[in-house]
Amino acid sequence: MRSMKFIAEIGGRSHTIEVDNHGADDGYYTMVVDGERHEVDAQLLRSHIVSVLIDHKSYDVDIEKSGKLDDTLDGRMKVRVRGRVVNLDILSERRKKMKEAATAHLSQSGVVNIESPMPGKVFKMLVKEGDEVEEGQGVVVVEAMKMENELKSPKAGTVTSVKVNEGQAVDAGTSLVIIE
Amino acid sequence: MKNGQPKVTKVLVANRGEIAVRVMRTCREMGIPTVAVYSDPDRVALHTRYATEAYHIGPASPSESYLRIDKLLDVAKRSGADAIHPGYGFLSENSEFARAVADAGLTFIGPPPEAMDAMATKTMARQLMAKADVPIVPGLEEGIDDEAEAKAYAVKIGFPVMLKASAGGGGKGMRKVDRAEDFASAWRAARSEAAKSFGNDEVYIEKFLEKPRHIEIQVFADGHGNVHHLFERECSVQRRHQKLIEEAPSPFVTPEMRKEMGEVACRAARAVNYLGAGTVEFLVDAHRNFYFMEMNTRLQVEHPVTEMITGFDLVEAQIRVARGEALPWGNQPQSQRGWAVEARVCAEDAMNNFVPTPGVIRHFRTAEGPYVRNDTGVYRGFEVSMDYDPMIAKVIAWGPDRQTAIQRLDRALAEFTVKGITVNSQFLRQILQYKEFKEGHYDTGIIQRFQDEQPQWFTEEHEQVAMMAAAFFLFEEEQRKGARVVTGQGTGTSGRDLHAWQRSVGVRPPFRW
Repeated sequence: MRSMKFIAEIGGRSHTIEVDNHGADDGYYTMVVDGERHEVDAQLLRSHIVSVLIDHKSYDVDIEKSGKLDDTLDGRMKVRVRGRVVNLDILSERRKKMKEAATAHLSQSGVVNIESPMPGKVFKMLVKEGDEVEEGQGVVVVEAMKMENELKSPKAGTVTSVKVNEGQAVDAGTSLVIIE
Repeated sequence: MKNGQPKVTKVLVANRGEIAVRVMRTCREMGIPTVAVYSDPDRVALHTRYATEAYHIGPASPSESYLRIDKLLDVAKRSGADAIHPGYGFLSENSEFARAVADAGLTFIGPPPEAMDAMATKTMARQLMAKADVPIVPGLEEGIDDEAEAKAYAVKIGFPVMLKASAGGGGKGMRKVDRAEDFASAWRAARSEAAKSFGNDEVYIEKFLEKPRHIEIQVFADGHGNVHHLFERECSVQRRHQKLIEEAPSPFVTPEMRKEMGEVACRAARAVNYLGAGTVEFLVDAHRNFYFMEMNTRLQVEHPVTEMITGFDLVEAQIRVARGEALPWGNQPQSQRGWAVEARVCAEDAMNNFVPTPGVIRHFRTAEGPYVRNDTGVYRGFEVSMDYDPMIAKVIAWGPDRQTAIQRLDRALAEFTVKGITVNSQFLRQILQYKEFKEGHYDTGIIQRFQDEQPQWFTEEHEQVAMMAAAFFLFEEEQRKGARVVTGQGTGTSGRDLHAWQRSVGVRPPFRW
């Protein structure tokens, strides 16, 4: 593979980045960001650190994937550049298309799966199956590190399933409530 | 002590995390062996590894481990520890624990239980402080019925005042009164609202503090009659009533005020026959009036900023005082040196209502360079448990002046890196660079105002570089996947000859965090 195209989203805006290694593994790349060309010297180091030189400007960049670890179509990342974190969602063009195909079907059915954002304990269930909820309404309280955190419904709908009980220990990503 | 001077020859640290490690560090320097106690998940915690000896005391839940007085005393007996340092939190302000330690013939490295009790209940502390001539937030402890009497009292303590429902809560039956002319209508409104909301129209009066700042004085007392103060710490940067950034000295405190607050704090300590390290917390209003809030009868989380501007080791001083020695620095220190700022790095998502983010630390790089200090209890590979406090590290920087200290801490936090879990280090940097903070004109409302404003943080340059680095990273990830398949060909184990499961094993998934 000599060149690849990526689609990145930052704060709702979409950007394209083309990476071309000229067929050589020499650390030099041509990148075209939204039509603008850059010659980039990049090195991938241990611990997901990327050292980038652009026009002799040195950037030490820390990459951290923040999406679901087992989902290759989840491109969320935290990228720290000169100590400032940019949250972006980036996928190759190919994966982006796969994702669009996969989620088109999801958004039609309008199912929202509320997951625990962290390991903890279900402190209080605020809804039960069959309840109508408003957008932004609290549905469940998860407790971790002595703090209670209320999770809210991202949309209006009906609670079709409550998957956990009060007092139950949950992991990050555990499905708690389904809203349709 | 009953049998002459206590020696403190082996210290049990009844705590975990960064403070346990911090206490043990001083013990090591003083040549004193240490005893750690640990819960199930803390078997591999840094404090367990750092101590000379370590004893298991139960499951993760603090009520079954770190808060179990019987287990702690049992470990002290088994290990031969003759002193206990409680750290902060857990049992540090529990007088029952301090008594049990003394009854077991051990030295409690902290104040006498009577002093802890005196400061534990607010009304009792208020009465004691008033008697000792320590200013308290003016107000009535009881409800008041007569309007004229109430108004006279409001005039006496000075406007603005707050009228609060005695039975109240949640802002109901609460009225701020700015001028005497407004008193009558506010009085009626507060009473009728109180009656409607709580079925009880009784209200009481308290002075309203405008833009309150939280400023505290470090005090230290020994058994030889010396009570000293080690200047102030400014702790107004708080979220959920917990401090996030502290500095010493305070940009708001004048030299005269410092002297006065210090003397008042020493009076407060004397009033309860204090011993060892303590902190007198004050609320300070915009007019530089200060009022006693409470006394923390223990070492504070933010004690390092005081250490940085005095050059003293407060844990060493605690141990020396516990041994019956006089305060190691001799006379009341007259001036501090330079400026120090501390930031608390927490496993929480500052952009998402500060939700805790426990998990495994995949990469950990502390800040280095001149005049930077890291106090931490974690390391790469350690799992930050959901059972304990989210604070994983304190980063402290010193400078000859405030601006240098802030810039240095900012630089240090930019180096401080944790991967695997979300931490608040960038948020802390944003606060450090926030106009109010930089100029030193802030109060306890600073975080709220910052969040309402949400100043732009990264620039187009950051964005562009982030995209290029991320695209490069994914490009390399894809290339490597391809490369592994190629390696297989020349070795006679090409994909064609392999079973499906072997093929899947051969291509290792990229290590992700």
